[in-house]
Amino acid sequence: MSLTEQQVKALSFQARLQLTAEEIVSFTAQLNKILQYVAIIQEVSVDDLEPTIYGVSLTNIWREDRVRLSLEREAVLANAPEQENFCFKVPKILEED
Amino acid sequence: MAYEIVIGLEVHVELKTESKLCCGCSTKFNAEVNTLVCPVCLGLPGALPVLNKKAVELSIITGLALNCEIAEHCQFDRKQYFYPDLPKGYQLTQFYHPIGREGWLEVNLAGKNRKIGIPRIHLEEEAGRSYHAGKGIIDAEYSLLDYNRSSIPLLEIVTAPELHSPQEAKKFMECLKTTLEYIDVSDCKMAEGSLRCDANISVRHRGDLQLGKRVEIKNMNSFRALEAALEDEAKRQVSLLQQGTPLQREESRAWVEEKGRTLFMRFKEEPHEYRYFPDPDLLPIEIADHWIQDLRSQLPELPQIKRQRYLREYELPAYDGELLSSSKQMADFFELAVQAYDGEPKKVSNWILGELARLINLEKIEFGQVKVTPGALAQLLTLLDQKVINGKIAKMVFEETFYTGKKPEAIVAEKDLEQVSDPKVIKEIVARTIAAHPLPVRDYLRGKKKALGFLVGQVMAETKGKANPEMVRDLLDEELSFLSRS
Repeated sequence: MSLTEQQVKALSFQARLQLTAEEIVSFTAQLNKILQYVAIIQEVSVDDLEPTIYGVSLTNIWREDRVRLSLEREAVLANAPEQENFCFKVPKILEED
Repeated sequence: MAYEIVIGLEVHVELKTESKLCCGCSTKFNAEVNTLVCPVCLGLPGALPVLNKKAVELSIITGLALNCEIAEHCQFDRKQYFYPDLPKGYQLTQFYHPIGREGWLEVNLAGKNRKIGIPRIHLEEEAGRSYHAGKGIIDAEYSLLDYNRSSIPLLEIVTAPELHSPQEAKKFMECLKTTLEYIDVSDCKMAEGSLRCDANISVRHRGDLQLGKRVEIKNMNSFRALEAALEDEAKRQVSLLQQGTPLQREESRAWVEEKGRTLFMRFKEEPHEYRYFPDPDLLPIEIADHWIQDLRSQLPELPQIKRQRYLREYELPAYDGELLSSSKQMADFFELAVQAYDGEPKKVSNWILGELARLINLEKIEFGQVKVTPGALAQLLTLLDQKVINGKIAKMVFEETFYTGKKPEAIVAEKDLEQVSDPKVIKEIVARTIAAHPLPVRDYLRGKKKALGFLVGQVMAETKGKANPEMVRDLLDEELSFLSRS
């Protein structure tokens, strides 16, 4: 399996990464190297194995439905690049088509 | 040419928990902005979510009420997309292992009971809330984000594309809301957003096997808006078909209340672009059979079953059964009143759906705020049956009970409203009335039967409405016919 530059371009948009044309070319090559390396795993038969998703084999770990104190609002907004009326201020969301 | 409308609904219900899905922040509505947030629901790096057991339990209960198969095993996946109301960059949802599958809800559509399929219900989390500066999201130069709502547990209920008109879609939603209220899993307030619904709609030539391209409609804040938006969109799609230019791409549209129209938002992304994968932070859930059985045994009688029982057990007409069972509070009220009353259940139903409903509408209050108790209604009906008061006085007394919560017996005693049924007393008033109104009496004797009504009214007025009206009529009739013979 290998990636095309077109796919890497699409993926960078999905991840909201702004890549230059040169970066796309070089990252495609690098990503393909990683994929080739990982492809070695394909040689191993995993037919009888469940995919490993979790690092521990616990189930039903939960909390009871009780309210706990939330953060102070000052702390909440401390990292906000911009704020207004105690809200996070974000740039224009939708551009007109 | 005939067209067929095909509608499927995607319903989102905020579950009634005290705390959020994966953290202890409160789910309270309308708190000061950004005061109910913590590192987990803000998506700060390194925060670890822990699942709220109650949210899982309410989801199972909903699944059971909607006749779903409950998953033995489920887990959460990350649905990844960028949007300012989603601080983590992904939404926790159950893409691969929904908690419930293959359910249905029975709905009475055009007089026929139909089972509308519910292929899946799954648990996910709510997004934050954005406020757009200016007129709307397009015109806004910037937006403001409040994350109080972020990560409140949300249950998504998906229907099969089995609804065939805007009216059917509305009826389904009403029925679903009633069911959710019965099992008490959500506040179900559309105006506050705790019950929301998006609709997928397509139109095809009748008889076509393939569905047309569908359009998703969002932003409908009431059942009425749902119906109106679907009407508008169905019309638009039919006219596209008629022009020979059917839809080519699936799209999202928004209902704009002020314009009464749906407006184009965007073409739909393909599902794989969300790059779902299992969330490694939340451990999987195993739902044991005994847990399901335990929750099943706690389910209340559901509205469809209740309605049928009312027809059978209380011999109510279908109309009464449907209305009474449409609200759990009203149904409970009805049953308690029937228990406290010796007469016919239909009379109880008449008063609830008549006078009580009228006053509730007049005062624009909720059923839960009503001051009349089921016992008070039973008492009033008993007073009527025993002819202690007449029908007109009963309505007056009921109104006072409605506004003050006072018991009917107390009101009757206090205001001396007991019906005057002593023939001697009434006879005397009748005689006086006849003497005082010679003209109507003459009219009556000359065959103008209507004049009797006037005379009855005079007697009633003299007793301040308290006389037994049948007795008044009989005694007047008796006296007058005596006069006509003499």
